[in-house]
Amino acid sequence: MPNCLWCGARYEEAIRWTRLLAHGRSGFCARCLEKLEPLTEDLCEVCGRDLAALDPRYVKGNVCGDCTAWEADPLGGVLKMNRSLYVYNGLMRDIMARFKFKGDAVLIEGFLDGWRKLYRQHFKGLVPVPVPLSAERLATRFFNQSERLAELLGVPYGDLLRRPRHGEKQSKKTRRERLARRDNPFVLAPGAERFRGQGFVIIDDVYTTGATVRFAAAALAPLRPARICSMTLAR
Amino acid sequence: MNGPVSFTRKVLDPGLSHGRRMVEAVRKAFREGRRNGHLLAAAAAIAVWQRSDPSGVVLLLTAIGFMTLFIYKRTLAVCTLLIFVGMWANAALRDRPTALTPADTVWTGTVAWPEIDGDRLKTDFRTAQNETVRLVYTMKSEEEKRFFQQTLKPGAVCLVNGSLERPQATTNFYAFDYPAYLKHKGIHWVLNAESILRCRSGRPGLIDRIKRLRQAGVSATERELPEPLAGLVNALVYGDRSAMDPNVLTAYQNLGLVHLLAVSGLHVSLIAGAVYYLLLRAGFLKEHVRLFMALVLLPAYAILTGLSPSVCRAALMLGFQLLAPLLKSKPSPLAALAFSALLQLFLSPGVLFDIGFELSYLVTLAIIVSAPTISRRHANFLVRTFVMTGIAQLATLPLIAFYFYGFSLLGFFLNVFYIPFITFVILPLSLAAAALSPVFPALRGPLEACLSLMVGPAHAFLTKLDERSLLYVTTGRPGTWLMLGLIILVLALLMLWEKLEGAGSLFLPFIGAVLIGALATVVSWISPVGSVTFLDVGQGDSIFIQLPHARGNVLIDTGGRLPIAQKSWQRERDPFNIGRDIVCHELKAMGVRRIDRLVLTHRDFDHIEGLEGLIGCMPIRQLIVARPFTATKTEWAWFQKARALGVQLVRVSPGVRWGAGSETFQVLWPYEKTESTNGQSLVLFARLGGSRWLFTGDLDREGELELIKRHPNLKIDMLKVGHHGSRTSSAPAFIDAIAPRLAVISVGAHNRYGHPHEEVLKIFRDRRIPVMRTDRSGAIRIVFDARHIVGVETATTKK
Repeated sequence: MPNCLWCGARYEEAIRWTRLLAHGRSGFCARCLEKLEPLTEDLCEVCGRDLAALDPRYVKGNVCGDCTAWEADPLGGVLKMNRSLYVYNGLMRDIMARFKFKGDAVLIEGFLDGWRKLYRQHFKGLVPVPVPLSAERLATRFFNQSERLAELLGVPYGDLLRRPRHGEKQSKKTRRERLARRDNPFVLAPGAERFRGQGFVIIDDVYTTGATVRFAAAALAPLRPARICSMTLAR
Repeated sequence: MNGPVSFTRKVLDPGLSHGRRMVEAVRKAFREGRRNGHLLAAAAAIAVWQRSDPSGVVLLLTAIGFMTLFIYKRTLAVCTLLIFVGMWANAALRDRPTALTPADTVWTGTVAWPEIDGDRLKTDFRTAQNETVRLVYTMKSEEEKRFFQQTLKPGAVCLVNGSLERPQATTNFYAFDYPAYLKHKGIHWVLNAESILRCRSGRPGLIDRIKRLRQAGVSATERELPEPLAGLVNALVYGDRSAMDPNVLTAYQNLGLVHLLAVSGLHVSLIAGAVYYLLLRAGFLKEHVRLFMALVLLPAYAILTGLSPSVCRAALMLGFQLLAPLLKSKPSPLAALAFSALLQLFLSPGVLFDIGFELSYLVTLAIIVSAPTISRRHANFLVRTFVMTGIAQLATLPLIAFYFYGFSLLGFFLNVFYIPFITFVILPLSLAAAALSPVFPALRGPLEACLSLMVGPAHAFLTKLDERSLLYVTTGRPGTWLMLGLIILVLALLMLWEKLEGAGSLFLPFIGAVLIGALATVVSWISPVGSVTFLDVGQGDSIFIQLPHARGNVLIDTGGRLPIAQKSWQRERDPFNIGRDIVCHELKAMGVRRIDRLVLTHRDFDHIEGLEGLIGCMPIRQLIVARPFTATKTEWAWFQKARALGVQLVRVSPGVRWGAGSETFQVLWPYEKTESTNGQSLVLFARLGGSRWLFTGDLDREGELELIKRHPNLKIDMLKVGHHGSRTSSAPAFIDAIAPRLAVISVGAHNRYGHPHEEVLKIFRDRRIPVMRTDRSGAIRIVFDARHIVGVETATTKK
């Protein structure tokens, strides 16, 4: 009997008729899982957010207001689509905090099945590209959360981007600051030319405004990729 | 990280050494196996099945399943494949050919478990050559019976004079496959004992000692408790149903309650729980108690209750769960279930074909998978029981339909009362009666009175319900594709049940069962083919006609045996009756819900004795006899019983006809009373599937000639040859006149009358009329549609 990766309680892996043949593994107990909101239906066609939770005024067709706004931006067109596993709610926020800032790198293994399924469903064949950390940040954090997530997919991934500058943490900035147009923090890694013309899916932990993944997408643009998408754990 | 591009595959940490990686991989395999043990057990079951009965379709489906698994879960796929191959090899290794030769006549061997019923003694018998045979012996006197009852014990070594015979193959379409049943137990021969020369008690091992305890317990109960109670107590306490009243047993079976009589999970946990508590109270260490129970008490209890697959399942599961904390792990119930199945299949692969095994595992799986959902939704104990039994019954429905050809919708409601009643009231009292009464004889009286008071009415109620066959759904044995469809339908219903919230989910299993019942009816309505089946009833006649689109069922004669005078000690508890055990059984398997017209041609035993067993087994609308038919006292008693059950008695004369469209029937004979009963056989002419049929009963030559005189233009395609091919029938002039294209002889193999007569066979041979015989090919079925005969099959070629 395993322990819940989040709350530590021992729990029975609930078997069901619907999962008899594909009895999956979830690292979390049923009580914790209940508090997570999966993003499965009524999603924004572009960014994968839950449209039902949004004020209808900000929805145009099947696209949310943010994505409509992005379309006007020069960076907007580079990203085809984003899909995320769960809503970035209370528990997800706490999980992400423990994962990233307290260094609990195993925590995300609880998402393994859902994470891989999301990849198979939407991004099969695309090369996963983790969003890089700067060398300074890596030195303080000891691991790159995006790379952990890319590893978790169990398919070969391409470490194609570099972040030479050490900027302020994204999570400590306001929305306005993040969206403020500055230079792209990402550059292509040496040797990335090998991947010219392939499709990419950018891997990150959280999609908030969409700025980070779009900068990453823009940085990959010189490779003339077939398609650039992104997937994140939370939205 | 700032180096050149890395394009890596990191599934296992590359920093680990080679050996360490192997250990990690094995560990991962174990984790997967534990989590998805049910898939491994399924793979094992399919492997055993394939080994015994290879089928391309199953192999293909398995391969597809495996490939799918390989894409998504590689480790699990490899585990499944290993188990599949391992189990297949294991089954092949254990399936040894026989080493015995039938030339020997004197045999020494060990008795496994003697069963004495009437004058028959049966037991598995392990010969000195270390091969088990089935010993069958007919006892010669009451003294001999008493002697064996008192002295023949499990583990006894006997010297037997007798001959080996191959078990008799089945000769009807749906008959119990005895040779296959024995083969799955590793038995190739039946030892027909002429005499049992002498038996020694032998030196019993531990297992035989426990078996002797069981035998002593069973006979003590039978001695000390009144007849109807003893059967139930023995079933519940020792897992021995042989003394159960056959009517009550059938009622339990038909009403979906028979699981209560199998010693299984509820019993084992109830008893183990009590012992666990008592031992802890007595001051033993928890660890010691767990070890003692898992390694000593549970195995002993399993042997004491007859080592049936359901007891083994329950004991193994509980054993795993008791031992696990000592090994610092706790298997989920699903893992325990899977491992117990793997172990049983490994030790005796043939157990897969045991109905008890299949039902026990299927029900437990259904309960384990549904339990979390049920306990989340319902708090009330009765509601939980209702939903749980509903799910269990829905899950086993395809299997029940396959083995028992139908199910009762009442079972869904009866279980709510009978499960707690038997498990929490009757079982503890029965245990007390069995365990305490030898120690405190004073307790026996009150216990017995208490039990009788409750069991009597409870059983009377069940048999009443069963007689009415209220809400009973006859499905017949589903064919391969229908079976596959049923399984998919049931799985879909179970998934739907899981999704559905609210009151709808409460009754979904019941509604699902109603749906399946309705489906069975619809299938019979749309079936465009009918059939004429000449059942193999040995020496005798029984011909069943099923019309297309469920337009009616006609049975001509019931078969039967000359009753043998038997003393009371010789009589079996549930004597064989052709009408019930062959005719009714075959009809139910064909999905027949009712016989619309039962025609009794004349009153010879080989034509009507089966009526006794048929009444009460299958509803009958009309019983048709010829006008001159005179019933004896015995037959009159049967007719009265039939009338009490609502059967209409009809006397007919020549000229009476029924049916419409492409299927019509007409009575041609008899006009008047004759001297012999054969001469006044009811002769039936029928048009079926564009052919003309004649069923003549036992009509003699005189009658045949008279018949063609009255019907000079009578031409026939299919003839049921008169009087089992005796030369008193089938006059050449008659055959020439009606000019049949096919002749069917219903006759017993090695019958004492020498039927069919060579002279009769020659008559047909000379006219180049093909003859089919039930003694050669078993039951014969001719299938027709609205215009044509579309096929002929026999029970022996179908296999």
